[in-house]
Amino acid sequence: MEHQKNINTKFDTILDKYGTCVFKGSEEKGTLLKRMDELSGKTFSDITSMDDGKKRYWVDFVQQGGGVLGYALVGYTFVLEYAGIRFLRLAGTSAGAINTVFLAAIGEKNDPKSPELYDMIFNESRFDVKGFVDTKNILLRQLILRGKGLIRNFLGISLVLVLLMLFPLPWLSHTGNEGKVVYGIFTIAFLLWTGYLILLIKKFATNQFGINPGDKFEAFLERELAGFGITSQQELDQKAKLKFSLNVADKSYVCTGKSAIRLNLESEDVLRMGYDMLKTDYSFVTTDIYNECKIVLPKEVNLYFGESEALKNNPARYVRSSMAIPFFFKPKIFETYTEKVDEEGSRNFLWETWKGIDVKNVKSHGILIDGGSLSNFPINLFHNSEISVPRFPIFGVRIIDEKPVERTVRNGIETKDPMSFGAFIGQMINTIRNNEDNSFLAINPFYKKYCISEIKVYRTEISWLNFNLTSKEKDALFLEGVEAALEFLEKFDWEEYKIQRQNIKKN
Amino acid sequence: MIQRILKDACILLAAALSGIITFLQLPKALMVLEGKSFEVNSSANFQQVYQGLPHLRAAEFTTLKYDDIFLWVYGIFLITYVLTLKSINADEKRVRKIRWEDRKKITWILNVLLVVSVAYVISDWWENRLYCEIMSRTDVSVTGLPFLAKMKWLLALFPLAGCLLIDKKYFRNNFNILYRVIIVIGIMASVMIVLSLQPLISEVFAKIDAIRWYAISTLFG
Repeated sequence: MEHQKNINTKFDTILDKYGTCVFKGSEEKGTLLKRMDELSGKTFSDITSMDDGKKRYWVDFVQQGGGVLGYALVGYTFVLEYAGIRFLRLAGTSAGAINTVFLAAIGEKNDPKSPELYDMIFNESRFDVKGFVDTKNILLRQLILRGKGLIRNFLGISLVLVLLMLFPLPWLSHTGNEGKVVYGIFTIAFLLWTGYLILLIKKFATNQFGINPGDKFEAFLERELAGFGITSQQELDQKAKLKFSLNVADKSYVCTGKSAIRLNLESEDVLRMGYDMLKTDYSFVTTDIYNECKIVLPKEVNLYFGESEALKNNPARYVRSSMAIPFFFKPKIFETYTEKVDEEGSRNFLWETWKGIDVKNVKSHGILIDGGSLSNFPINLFHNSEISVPRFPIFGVRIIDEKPVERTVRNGIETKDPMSFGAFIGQMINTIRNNEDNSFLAINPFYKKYCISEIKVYRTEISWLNFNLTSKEKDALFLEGVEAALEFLEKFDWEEYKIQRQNIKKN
Repeated sequence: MIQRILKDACILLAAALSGIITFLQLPKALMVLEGKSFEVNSSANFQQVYQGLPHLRAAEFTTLKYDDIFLWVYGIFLITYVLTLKSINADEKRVRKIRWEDRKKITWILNVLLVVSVAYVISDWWENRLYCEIMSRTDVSVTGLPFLAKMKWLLALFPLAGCLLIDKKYFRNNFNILYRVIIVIGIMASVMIVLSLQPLISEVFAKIDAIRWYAISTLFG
């Protein structure tokens, strides 16, 4: 393991900046600091530990993706950690995967990570969001970062040129020689623009339909993870994938590995089934569009790598595959691993046993794109139908970037706004990508009611693909996360959670 | 979207037309700098001022043709610019951070700018018609043509400056303004450069044509 740099575990910087903030609509509750301090008396879990005389509560934590809106996740994590919450199992997609890998990699398991994360994401020399748009095509880069976004900018320029070429310029060319010259200049500009578009489309195909290589993002992850002592999956596993066994006598969990963390079980019924073991891990969700399935890394990494090879992989590669926004970033390509694997004496192919894909149909490689294409909020990874009384809760955070629907009723009749073609396509894609998560939540409404918090980032009006954020916008996103976490923790009732969770089992 | 496309198309075309007009008016401007006055109030005055300057006289006729197009294109640009700003001002998402009093003030100013934009089109059109009368007839006399010309400039620049100020100060479209200014200057410059090189280009094309004909006639008799 590489030497780890000193990490910031103090909340001072964040508190100095935002501690006196009062949120709109919650003025009577007081400042952020006051509200967070009031949480100190609350219980959030039966799995606890002691750290500098303060009680820590351990929970599972799952985070949704949302592009650059992921700044809000750091704000959310900050409040949880300030309230003494620490994380057992972690999972996330896309931006959620980025936060997940750092929560797993920074410091020791019981250290608060958000102060270091905050320092990182608000320091442009460490976290250069604009730099992640790393296409070498300067014009394309400007079209992404400026104005109304890539598609609208392209459409706008093309339509303006077509409009000019169709009507006013031919008319102008009949006015005189000067008009002909102008027509000529615009014709050259039009031809250059058309040629540029054709070239881009050709390049697009050779780049696996990704505008940005995403190399700078991966390099950033590798650099930062190396700073935290992580250069391979094995090193991250040693830090974040721990197994604890229960010591019934003193109601504590002792780590079976190198970690010295000792967790306490604050439940009366220590002999309950399923209470003997406890584990921590991390998961990133990605989508293999070539083999047509959802992939959870590193759990299913052996679909692409042999056992020893996988351990040498840098986790940055997994996160990069989880955040490969289709068309925006180049997909991540992993060669498929189809060797036979012994499983209790029988010989099986992992693709067949894990994914139900006939080995003959497994493609030579996987094309991995953003996990959010199939499951942007993988809370189902933590669902355990076997348990009755939980020892710890699952906390999930969603990034909501769409305003709630406002229905308009005129003369007692609900008006239906006509849908544009673009909106139709968008809704179709959203239905496919949200289907798995929504179906799970529909079957298990408990999670929606007791585990999930929603960060209302639509209030900031910031697009999830705005890679040109100002510091004010970053602050606004961070504070949205803070506010969502405060509201969630203030309402959270661990005893009620346990009762309601038992009802799922009974039902 | 349509409004914005129309606005951008108009600004590009207006830039090209102003490039033509500037190119045509350049010799006249140089003479003005040397101290010659080109103020005209009547047909007789026009004949006298342009006596011995047939190229400038011809340029005046050509300028008028392009100015007749320019006034509409620039006028539509001003009107669509004001309307775009009005729609931004009415969009709750975009103006969340602007105070309510400021928004009311902006609405009022934009309405004034809209009226001034229309006034510009009328004034420029009127000026062109009067000038056209003076140039094409021999017995026309008008008063206040120089005043109208100055007024037209004021009416043309006032809404533009007003819109740019509001766009920059309240809606913070600094980058959009900057790159449109660069494009406008770029188009004007390219039009002027190509027009000044036009005789040279025509000469080159004529020579190429002559060589082509010579080659064809030599090869095929």
